[in-house]
Amino acid sequence: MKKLLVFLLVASMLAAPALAAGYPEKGITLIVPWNAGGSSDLIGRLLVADMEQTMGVRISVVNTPGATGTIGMNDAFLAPHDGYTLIANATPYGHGVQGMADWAPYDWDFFAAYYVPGIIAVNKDSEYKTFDDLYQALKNNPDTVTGGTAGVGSTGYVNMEVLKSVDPAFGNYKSISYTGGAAAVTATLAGEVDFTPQLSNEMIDLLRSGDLVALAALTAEDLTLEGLDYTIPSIKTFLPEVESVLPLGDAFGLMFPSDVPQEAKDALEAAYLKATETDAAKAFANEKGVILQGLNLEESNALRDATTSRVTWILYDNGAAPVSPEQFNIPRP
Amino acid sequence: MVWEYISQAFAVVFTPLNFIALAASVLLGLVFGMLPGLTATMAVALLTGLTYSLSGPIAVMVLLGIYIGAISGGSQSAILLNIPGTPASAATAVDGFPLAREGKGGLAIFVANASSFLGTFLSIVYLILFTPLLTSAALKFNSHEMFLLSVFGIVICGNLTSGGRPIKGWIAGFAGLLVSQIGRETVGSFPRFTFGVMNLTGGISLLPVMIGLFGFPEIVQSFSAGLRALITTQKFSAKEGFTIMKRNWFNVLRSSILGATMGSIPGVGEDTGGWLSYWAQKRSAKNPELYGRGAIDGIVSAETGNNAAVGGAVIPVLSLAIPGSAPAAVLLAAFWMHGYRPGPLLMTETPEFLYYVVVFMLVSSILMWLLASNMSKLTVRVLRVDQRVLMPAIFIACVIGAFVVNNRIFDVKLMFFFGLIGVAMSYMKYPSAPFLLGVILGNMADENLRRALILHDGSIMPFFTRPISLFFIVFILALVLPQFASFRKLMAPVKNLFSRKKKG
Amino acid sequence: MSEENTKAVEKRAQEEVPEAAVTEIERDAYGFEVVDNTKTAHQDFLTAVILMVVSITVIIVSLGYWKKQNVTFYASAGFVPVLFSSGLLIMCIRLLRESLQSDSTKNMLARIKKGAIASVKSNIVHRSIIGLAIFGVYVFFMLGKMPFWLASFLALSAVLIFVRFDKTLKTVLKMLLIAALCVAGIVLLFQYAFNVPMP
Repeated sequence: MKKLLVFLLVASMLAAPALAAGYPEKGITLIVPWNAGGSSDLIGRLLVADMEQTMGVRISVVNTPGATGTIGMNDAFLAPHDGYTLIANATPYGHGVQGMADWAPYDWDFFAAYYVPGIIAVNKDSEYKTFDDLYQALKNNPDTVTGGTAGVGSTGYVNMEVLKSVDPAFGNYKSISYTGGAAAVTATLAGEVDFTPQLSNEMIDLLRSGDLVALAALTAEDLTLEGLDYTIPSIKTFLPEVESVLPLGDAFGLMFPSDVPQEAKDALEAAYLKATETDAAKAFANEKGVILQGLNLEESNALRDATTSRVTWILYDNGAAPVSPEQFNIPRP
Repeated sequence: MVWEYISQAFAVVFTPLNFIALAASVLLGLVFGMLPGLTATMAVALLTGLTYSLSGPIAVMVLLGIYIGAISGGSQSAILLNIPGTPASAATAVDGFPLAREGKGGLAIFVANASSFLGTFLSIVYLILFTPLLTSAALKFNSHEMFLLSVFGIVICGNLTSGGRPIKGWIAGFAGLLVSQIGRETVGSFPRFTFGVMNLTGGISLLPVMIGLFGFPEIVQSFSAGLRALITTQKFSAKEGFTIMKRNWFNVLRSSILGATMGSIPGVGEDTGGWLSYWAQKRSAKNPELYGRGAIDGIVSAETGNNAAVGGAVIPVLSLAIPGSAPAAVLLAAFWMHGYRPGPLLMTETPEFLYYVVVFMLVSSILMWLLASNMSKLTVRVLRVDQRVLMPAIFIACVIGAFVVNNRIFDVKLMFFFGLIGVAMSYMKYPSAPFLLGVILGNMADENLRRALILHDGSIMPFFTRPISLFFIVFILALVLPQFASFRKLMAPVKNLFSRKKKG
Repeated sequence: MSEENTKAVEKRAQEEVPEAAVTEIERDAYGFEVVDNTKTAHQDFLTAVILMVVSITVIIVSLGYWKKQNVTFYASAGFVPVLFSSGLLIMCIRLLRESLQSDSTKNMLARIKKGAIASVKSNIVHRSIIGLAIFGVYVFFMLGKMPFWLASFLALSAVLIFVRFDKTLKTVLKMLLIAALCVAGIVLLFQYAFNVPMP
């Protein structure tokens, strides 16, 4: 009898801390390494607004832009890896190989909430009425077609580089860099560049109003967006061989360092998954022309690894990234 | 239909609880604007987070209120302390502070507030009338035009110095341009002048530079300030203020147009609006030497200009979903967050939004005027506080301000560094305003010039064949060439020809 | 502040910092100080030379970037810095020449030396340096390593105590109190009212 009592006593003493130390105990900080209003910012805020309710603590959002997201991510990496600092961003494949950071993509655990596909779009007055027109121009008149992207290392730029690795004609465009996706899209609208391979959400309203025309979507299937009265054909319709690298775009969601305690990870995953099932989350996808994926931790990490593998090696092989992915133990696809 | 929307908007504003919320946010904006280091962008961003759970119209109302308040509030610290509360008010400090030192601080603030109100009001009018026109004009401003616009800004640096020689203004301006080149550049993401320091790859933030540049000379001066006589602010009559405003009607009109235009061009914001208006006023003034030493008309132009940019910046937000300035960018994000659809679909999806915005801005600007005028009675007392105590305390506030921009202590160190530079510059009699302008314009000049050249394979012909570019080039030459004595000699016979013809 | 009080403070201030005694200032038609460029020419000389060195360094480094990037000059990262620093260089040369119009190079150097020595001796400069040094220590060594309110309180007290003319105990205590109130007020305002994170 005594032994039982002692056992119970000891057990409860051991259990007590576990019960008391329930994550989360204090407020959480979400760092958005971009300016307010961008995709990462909007998606991050949307998700944590619901997660706040589920977890019962305040999640404050801080914008720390700079160096294409590196500064904010570094801040999160330097903070204690206790699960109280999160990042809202897209798959972080580029920073290491571009020599901007020491950490590797797999140092971050990922929740891929939304997939934003790349779309090749032109101005409504453009001479290129179909994707074939544009492709022929690229193939036959190298260095005459101009494409606006958000700069070297941006998703739009990377998309073109990946396409180039399958079909060299895609390297024949003159790459014009802008300070962001929105600026690149505006330049296409203004007619300064011929096309833009940027993200769907950056051009969605212009597509809906007809000011921009989508020639092809960098998705595996044809893309139907709400409010658009035509279906955007997948680029594989025109060039079957590129199917192997589709889809091309960005997966946006939340991140935290991978060595955060398991308890915190589980709590975050549960709250996150719940946030992706809300009406607000679905409405966001429809409005913004993005795809709600809501992948769990395992699936997201798998996506992260697949994308990283493919994209970093292409960037390195093309000379667009100075640091070899080998240094980060990233295997070839 | 339209009338319905407008009356709905007014109904929202004049609901007692909402009205109080609006007044509070305008007040908050004024305070934010006044504190050096806290900017309009930050104010809107902070409130965006706080109003996330509020209903759409109320959130938008409150955000517009704080935006207008913040841009206007900066003038008070610019005038009283020579430290602009926000970059937009830097031009106000040039003439405002000398006026405050003479004891005319109250009058200066009164005029500044009235100008802010008029600037905002007129820009709302332009918003209603000219949105389609300004939108298509803004779209025509591509890389070539943006580059020339920045060159234009650099050129007017020389004329912004007070009494001193233009060449020192230009040197300061070019030094600022060089500083802006630090960090990863836009075209190829190549890191420049970073010397391995990770925190420099993002470039030098404007705010630490501004606070250091303008604030430190004042703070350092305060260390030996027992020597400065304590300033007593004279009382002024509102009538005097109104007379000044009436006299400046053309100034106000011109500044509002310039400010609104600058605001509507994406990438150019309230600060440029203020500077351009100030410069235009100085050029056309009868006694330009007075500017920089207390010309009250300078304040009118600067404050009208920077506030007019508010309405201007909202134009492309509404018509294209492209922000005209940094605070407008945060505003745009907030609009999206609340389900509004600014952009080409505005009138088809959420047409009432336009009218809401117009009404909210109108009421905010009136509230701003009322609140600011009453606040100034308190803030003017700041001048009576012993500078030796005030300035070091302001320094602590500046430290927070510099930190808050990017949430890192590195920016505080940056502020200190540029503060030392600011002290050196004031000691060596270099004006700091052009330096700041250089930092603002440098990146714009760099990325646009290179993009323009890359687009046309190095050819500079497009600069001369594009109509807006050509206009800029001619205008810039008209400003620069007369500075050279050799050119003046060349033109002398031409001038004589014209004057002789007149007499004949 | 009453008239005699003001006068007393000013008198004491002047005793402490004699060179601040007001000399006759020339004024122009508007009542503003006339700035005599020749008097400050040696400063212009000095700054012109320093900036020339800076601009030449920038040009060299930028050309290095061009080489590294291996693209056409106008597309390289170094292009615009070269433009800007060339412009700066040209203007500094002009400033240099203007300053030399009033005096020869040898005299310039002598004047610079004289000015430097005067600065080192000047009481005003001493105060400025010490004040800046206190804030420098605050920014570079104290922030981030101790709670913000503590660092600010210490730094502010140090500056306020130092800057006051009389170092009596009463004044010291008064300064400490002011410092405490200021820091408390500022932190409350920013952190709680505005919800802004502290360094």
